[in-house]
Amino acid sequence: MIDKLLIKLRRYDKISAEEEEALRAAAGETIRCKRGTTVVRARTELSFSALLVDGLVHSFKDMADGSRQTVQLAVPGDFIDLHSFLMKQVDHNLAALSNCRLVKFPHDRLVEITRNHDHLTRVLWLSTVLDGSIERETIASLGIRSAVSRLAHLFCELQVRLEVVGLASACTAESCRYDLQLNQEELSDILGMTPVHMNRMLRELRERGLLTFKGQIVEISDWEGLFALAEFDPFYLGLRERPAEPMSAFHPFRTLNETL
Amino acid sequence: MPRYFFHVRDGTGVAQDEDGRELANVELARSEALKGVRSIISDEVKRGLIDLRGEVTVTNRAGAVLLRVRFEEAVELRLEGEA
Repeated sequence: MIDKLLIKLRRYDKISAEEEEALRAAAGETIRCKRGTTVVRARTELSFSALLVDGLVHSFKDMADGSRQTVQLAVPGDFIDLHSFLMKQVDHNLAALSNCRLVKFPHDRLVEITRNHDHLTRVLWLSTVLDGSIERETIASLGIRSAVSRLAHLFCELQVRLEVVGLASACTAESCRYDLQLNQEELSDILGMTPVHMNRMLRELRERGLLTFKGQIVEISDWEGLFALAEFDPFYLGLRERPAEPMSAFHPFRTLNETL
Repeated sequence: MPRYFFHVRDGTGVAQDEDGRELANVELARSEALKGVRSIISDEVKRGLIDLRGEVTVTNRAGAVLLRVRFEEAVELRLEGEA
């Protein structure tokens, strides 16, 4: 159930067999959420954090007039609200963008992890720090990237984040692709763009031979060109090279021993 | 709710809307079309371009044209020397 989490954490640092066991023991029940439902409400007392294992969830802030801005997107393998472990009540809402499955991690079991597994605690801390890193990149994107470049950047980021957990093929000389269970309107909401504008930007990416998004499938036909348009550098995702694998687009960050 | 399709034609070609959006009524569709055009123009202004050659055509499922919003209509231009 929590395999995607383990694969992801192992891209940050070494996770021992005992730590893996501790995480499996901390995992609680699995819940399903339908597309569109609010999974976590702002300002409600929370007693568990949830790990996304299937589907897409976003955090958003909304205004009195009903407009909303996505501030974070969670993919399988991500905790949607590990920070709620510390905040107890969060300042934003979390909703399912597609039908989802989530695994609950009761806060008292997370406390046990912090008591008995200090290295694992640091790795979990790193994962919340990296949530912040992704959000910083999102802020930069919303603030200064042009619309087409912002769109390209999101497609690049999702490619990398989904590839980590086995939900996207690696970008090689051929095209790379992934499923994205969003329609154009939802995608435009995430990017703070109107759907009309989004449609035109998708046309531009298509005509430049970089990417198509049709039938909820993203197909990147020129990943180098897309990365360049987006000025995408995956460094902020904090991922490390897989051992014994050829150099990919990712920068080596640290050695593969336990470093936290 | 009815579904509206927003097709964008500009100086470089046409982007067809294949998904459409559910909106309560045609007035809302018009307002969404205006927002869309303004979003496009505002993005281009950052690169120093105001290209008002274009139009959003809104159709229903059957493809019947319900309304059009020309890019020119979506913004008011004020220039020095005008009243």
